[in-house]
Amino acid sequence: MKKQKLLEIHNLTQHYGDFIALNNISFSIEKGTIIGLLGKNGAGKTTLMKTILGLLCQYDGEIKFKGKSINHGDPKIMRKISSLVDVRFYEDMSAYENLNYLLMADVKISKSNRRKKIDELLTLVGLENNSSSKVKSFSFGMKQRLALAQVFLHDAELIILDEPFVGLDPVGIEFMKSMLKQIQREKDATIIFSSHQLEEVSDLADEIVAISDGTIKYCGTLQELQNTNKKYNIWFVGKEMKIEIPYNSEILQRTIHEHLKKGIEISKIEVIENALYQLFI
Amino acid sequence: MLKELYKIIYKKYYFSLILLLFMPMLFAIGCFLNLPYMVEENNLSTSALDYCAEMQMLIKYAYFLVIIYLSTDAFSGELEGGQLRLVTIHVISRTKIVLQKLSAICLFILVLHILFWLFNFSMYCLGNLKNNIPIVFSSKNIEIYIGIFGGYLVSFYVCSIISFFIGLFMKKIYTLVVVYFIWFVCRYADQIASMKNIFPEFMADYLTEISGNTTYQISGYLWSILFFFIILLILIRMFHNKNII
Repeated sequence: MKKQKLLEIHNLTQHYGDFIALNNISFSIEKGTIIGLLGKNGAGKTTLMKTILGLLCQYDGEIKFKGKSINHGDPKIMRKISSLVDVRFYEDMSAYENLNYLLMADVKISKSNRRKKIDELLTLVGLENNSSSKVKSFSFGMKQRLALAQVFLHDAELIILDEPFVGLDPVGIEFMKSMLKQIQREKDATIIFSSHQLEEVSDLADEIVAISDGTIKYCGTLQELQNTNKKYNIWFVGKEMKIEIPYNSEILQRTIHEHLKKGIEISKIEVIENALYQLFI
Repeated sequence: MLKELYKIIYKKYYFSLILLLFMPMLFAIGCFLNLPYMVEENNLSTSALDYCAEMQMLIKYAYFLVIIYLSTDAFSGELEGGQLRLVTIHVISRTKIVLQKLSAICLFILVLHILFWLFNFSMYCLGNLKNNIPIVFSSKNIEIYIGIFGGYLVSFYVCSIISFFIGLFMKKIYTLVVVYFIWFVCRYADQIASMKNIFPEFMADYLTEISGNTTYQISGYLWSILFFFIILLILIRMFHNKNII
C-alpha cells in the first residue's frame, strides 16, 4: 500500500543575498520514513531545514504539508512539526522550567498534566535527576538530551533534526538512534535528520537525500544507491593510476581483456561499495 | 502573557528594582540621619507626592536604562541568543510572540513603577519621622502627579516598543545604546517649546512648571499611544517576514 505523502517540496529556491543556498529543489517524503540529509558543510542542509520550519520565511517555490501549502503562521500546522535545529535554551532557567515555558503555549494542557508530561520526558531522555538544575550547568550532551526532550513535547508528525549526533559520545549516539527508531515505530513519525556521520545515516535512514551546492544530488533508498553506486576500481602493475568502471561483470571482463592485449598487467581489482561516501565527496 | 511573566520572574528581572530604589533609599536615610546635604533638600513645603516625583526625576537616567534594557533583552536579546528561534518553532504565532512579550513587559513596568512610587512614599515618611506632621499631600493640583506618573509610564512603553522594533535589525547591545541615545536626544529636544505636547515624559516635566494644563497632557499621551500602536503594527508585520536564523 502506498503511504501518504507527508511533505512535498516543489522548486524550492532560497537566497542569502546574492548567494543561492538552495537551487530549485524538489522532493517528497512519505509518512513514517526516516530521511537522512547528506552533504558537505555549506551544502544547504540546514537552510533546507530552516526553510521547512519557517525560520527562513522568504523563499521561492512551494512547501506542502499533508497535501496543503504550509502556513508557518498557523499553530495548528506547526504543532505537528517539531525540530532540533540549533536549539538554545534559557540558560538561567532549569531544565524543567525551560520545558514548562515552552509547554505553557498550549493552553489546553493543565498545570498538573504539564508537570506529568515534563517529568516523563525528562525521564525518557535520562535527565530526571537534573530537572531542577540550571541549563548553564549542563554539558553539551545533556543540552542535546534536553533538546531532544523538547522535540517530543508535542506529538509531532514530522521531526526535523539538524546534526543530532554532534557532540554525543557513543552511548549518547546509540541512545539517540534508539529513541528515534522507537518514535518512528510507535507513533509512525516522519523524521528528517542531517548528519556527517555516514555510519549513523546508513544505520538509521530509510531514504537518503544528498545535497550538493544547493541542489539535490541523490534522492532515494540506501539500497538503490548502493546498487547504482557500486563499482570496480582496477589497479595496474607499475602504475599508480587506477580506472573506475561500473559494477558489471561484462564490462569488467572486457576491460581486463583489452588491457592484457596491450601488455598491461593488472595488480588489483577492488569493489567499491561505500556509496554514501561517494555521495558525500 | 503568563508564560512571559513566568520567564521574567525566573530571569530575576525584579532585581533591577533594587538598582532603581538604591538612590532614593540613600536619600531617605540621609534625611532621617539629618546629613547636611539631605536636610537642606528636605524642606517642609515638600509633600510626599513631590518627593516621589523628585526622586523619579533624580534617577530617571538609570530608570530609563533599566526599562530599555528589559525590553531589549526580552526581544533583541532572545533573537540574538537563539531562544526566540525555539519559541517561534514551538507552535506560537509570531503576532502572539510580539504581543505576549510586549504585554508582559508593559505589565512588569507598570508594577515596577507603582512599587517605585510606593517605596518613595514610604521613604518620604521615613525621612520625615522627626517632623511632627509630614505633608503627605500638598495643595498643588493632583493632576500634576498623575501627569508625571502617567507621563513616565507612557514614555517607558514607547521606549519598549522602539526597543522591540530596533531589535529586529540590531544586536542587543547596539539596540540598547541606540534606543537610549534616541531617548537622550529627545530629552534635549524638550528645550524646543513646540515639542512639549508631543513627548509624554517632557509633558510630565512641563507640568511641574505650569500646573493643571491637562490639554497638553492629554494631547501628549494621545500622540504617544498612537505612535505606540503604529510601531506595533509595523513591528508585527516585519516580524512575520523576518528570517530568524
